[in-house]
Amino acid sequence: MPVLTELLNKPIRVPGGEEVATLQDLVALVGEHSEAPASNASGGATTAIATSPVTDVYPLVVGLVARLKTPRGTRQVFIPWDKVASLDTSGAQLRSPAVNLRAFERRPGELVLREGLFDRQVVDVEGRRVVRINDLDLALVDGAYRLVGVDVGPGAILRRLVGPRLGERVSLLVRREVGTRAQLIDWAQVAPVTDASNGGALRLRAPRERLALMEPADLARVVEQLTPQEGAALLGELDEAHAADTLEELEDEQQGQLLRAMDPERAADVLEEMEPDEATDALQSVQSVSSEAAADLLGRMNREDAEEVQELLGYPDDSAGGIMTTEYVSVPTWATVGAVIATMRAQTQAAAADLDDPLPNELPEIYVVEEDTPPARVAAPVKRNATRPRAPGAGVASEIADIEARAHRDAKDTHAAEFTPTQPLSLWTEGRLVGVVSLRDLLLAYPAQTLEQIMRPVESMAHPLHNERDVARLIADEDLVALPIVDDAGRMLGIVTVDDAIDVILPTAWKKRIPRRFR
Amino acid sequence: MEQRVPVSVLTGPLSFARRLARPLVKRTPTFTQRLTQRMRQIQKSPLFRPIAALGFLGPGLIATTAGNDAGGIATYATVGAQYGYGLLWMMVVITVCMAVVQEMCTRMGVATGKGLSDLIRERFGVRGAAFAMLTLLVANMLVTISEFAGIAAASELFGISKYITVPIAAVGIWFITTRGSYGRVEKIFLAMTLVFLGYPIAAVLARPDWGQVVAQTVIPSFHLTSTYLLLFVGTVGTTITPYMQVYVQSSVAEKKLDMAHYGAERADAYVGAIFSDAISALIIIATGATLFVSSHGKGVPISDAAQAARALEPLAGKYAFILFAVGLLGASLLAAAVVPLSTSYAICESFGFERGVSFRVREAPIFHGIYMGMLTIGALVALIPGLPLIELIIVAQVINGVLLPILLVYILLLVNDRRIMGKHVNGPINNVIAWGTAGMLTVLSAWMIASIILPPLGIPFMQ
Repeated sequence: MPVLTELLNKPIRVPGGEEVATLQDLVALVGEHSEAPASNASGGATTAIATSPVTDVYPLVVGLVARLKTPRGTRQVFIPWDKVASLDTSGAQLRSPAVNLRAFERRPGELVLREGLFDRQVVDVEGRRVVRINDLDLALVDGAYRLVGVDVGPGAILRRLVGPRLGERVSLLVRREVGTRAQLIDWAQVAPVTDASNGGALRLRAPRERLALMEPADLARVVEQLTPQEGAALLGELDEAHAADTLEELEDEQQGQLLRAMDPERAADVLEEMEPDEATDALQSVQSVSSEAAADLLGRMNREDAEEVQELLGYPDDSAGGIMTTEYVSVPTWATVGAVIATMRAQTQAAAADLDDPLPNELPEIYVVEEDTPPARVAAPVKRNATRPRAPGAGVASEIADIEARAHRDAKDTHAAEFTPTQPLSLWTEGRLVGVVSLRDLLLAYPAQTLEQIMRPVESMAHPLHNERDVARLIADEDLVALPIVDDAGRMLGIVTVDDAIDVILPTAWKKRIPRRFR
Repeated sequence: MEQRVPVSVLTGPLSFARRLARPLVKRTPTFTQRLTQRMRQIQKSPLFRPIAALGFLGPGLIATTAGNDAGGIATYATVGAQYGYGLLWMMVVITVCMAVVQEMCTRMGVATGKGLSDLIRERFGVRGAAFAMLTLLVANMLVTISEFAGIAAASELFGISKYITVPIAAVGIWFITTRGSYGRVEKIFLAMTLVFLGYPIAAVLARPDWGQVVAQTVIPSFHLTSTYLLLFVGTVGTTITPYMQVYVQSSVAEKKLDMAHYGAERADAYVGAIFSDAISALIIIATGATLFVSSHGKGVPISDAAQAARALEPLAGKYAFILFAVGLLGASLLAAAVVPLSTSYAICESFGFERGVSFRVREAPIFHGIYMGMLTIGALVALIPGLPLIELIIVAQVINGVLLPILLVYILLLVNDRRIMGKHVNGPINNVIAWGTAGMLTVLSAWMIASIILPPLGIPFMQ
């Protein structure tokens, strides 16, 4: 298995042994490949990838770039692989003395190995880091070379610095001290970093699948090591939900930088996928640099998500309002346990079809609120009613009626008179917070019990203008999963979840690291 | 169901949120919130920019101080003592060159979002990067040595043996940067260097002949002696250090701005260069008005720190040496911590080795090896018995000046590369000034080296 450095600059001989040229570079065929327009500043995600029958992960070497000495100076010519009898560390041997003298030009779908890959940054998917290619590892498979790996070790640097032979000797000498052994990464574990500034020549489809397998936290670590343009290009390879999860793992400032570097339409889509509180922080970061850009992004988001974010944007970013999320479930006092469970089930089941689950991913607690208007006179639908699918379908309604009827028979301490089975139950009722019900309480209660009967009084809550650190400390001290945030009148506005509280507390530990600007 | 009483009671500022029924908080922002808002308004105001650029806040101050480190102080003081205001015109020329070079690096940082070492590696490959990094290593090693010499000189002013302070400083710097909270210590060092802002006051109090100062600033004069050439190259080397270019570009790249906000950065680069060189010029004036004038225009070489401190006498009288020592110590410690660290970062970044103080020594052996190696060598050289510290510092600056053209060529090739910079490549004026700087400096360096090497070999040159 030779490395590319060992092959380069070696003589190319014609039959008869005469040296006609030296090996300049190798050309490999990348199965799925397209050209990213070099002018695209964001390194943007253009699709339209030509699929070819070569489905192999490992690019096949299809020819040599030879440096040919002609009477009119040196020129680069292409020698297809079928003209090559052999290629090894001693040089290349051609089958025929004739060489096509047309100047070499890279065609789409081809990758020029040294020019295109040496010294470039790639994502090591398995190692979850960004590395620089020092050398390329080739393997002879069925009579042809394939690119199988990249070498990112210091040994390869030495090899390129002083030549393969001397480099080998030096690295043998110092191997133990600095660990100059090869650090090989399987080509199948490599995803190139693309950006307009490095020519944007390299765009593969396979890396997209590789990146898709990475955890958002790992991807965030990778993105941190890249410039915003490169990071935006990488996020462009992911689907929106995955990109949103990755963004959420980054610090606000970086979120803003990436969003600005991304295509605005795409950035807005990703923002929609983010938790409202995270999206708000990210937008705030954009806003701190350019309020027009933030307004533009907000304008491109769908109305419902944009409104939520806009509401949160009103709070200072170091306040509880700045870290709270509006994704929670709140139900009126009169709702029964059975109705709540049935409605939640119905919402999720109904949503499964269009993939937009209206319920929060985490459902730590259910909040019980006293409605602003008496239930009998519900007139104006609350804002969220307008867009969220919430009225249970006919089947569900009958299920609820059924459950409630049965509960009415079973539980004697319930007040049947208060039941209004046909009244639609909103999981996002607005009103004064009066109690909280855990999923455990909900599960263990009788279906006919009302939430008012099983709820616990709210022990802690905070105002959106409270300092985020105080709120985070409260959550830590009281071992809360989520802390409800209420306005002056005690009306429920949102919750601060424990993971957001951790984000507030943790960065101080990170800040003890040396500032990165000393690079 | 019986109503339960809340179990946990909120205390402190949150306690008023405990009861639900009552309206709890008025929406008046707290003091901190108001302060933050006010700060944001100030930052956006057009008045704020020049103040920040003047170096009183943040990176500008660091950059300025890094320029006026041990090497800077020693060189400018020597220039002033030796030639009075005779080299002031040169500071004007240097300022223009420095502003142009810094602006180029700033532009590269903003346009690419990458540091210089990253770009060099991507554009010039392993060998090109190795040469650039070797140059940087040598230049920065010399800077580090001169910082430790500065620490030694400052401690001797206090009457403490350098054999005690220098090792403590080396170990202390390593410990604080790798283990401790460096940010806080940095502020102490920075505060110490503010002492050097006393130079402008001292310069005024020394009552220099301002007519002479202005005349010498405007009218160039040139002495064809090797000392003059040496100081010329040294002054260029300490003002436009190779280190500064790397530092400026990474700190700009770190901010990850886009070209839309480049205007402010460019203004920062220009104003920063002018401000920093104004301080340097005032150091020259302060020393010129005291040491040079008291030597009756013959010029004296500065042989030790106590002598250099005399320039502050108009300001602090017999306490001048304390003022000088505090400033020298702060500036030297600051640079001795930052320069080796950033060198190690740059080299490891270029070659893709693990880097960062958060890694253990075993995880990032090369990073820590370079860092510790530079600290150790710097400290050891400064400890060589009988070594003249001020001369050592100046020689280090001279070699920096000799090495600068190498890095300038790299910078110029990068900043003119359309594949990297797109439409933000250099304009013709920038190119003329920067290539001119590199060319002139190369000629001067060669001339200087010849004037030092040839005469002892018996070849007559410039006598």
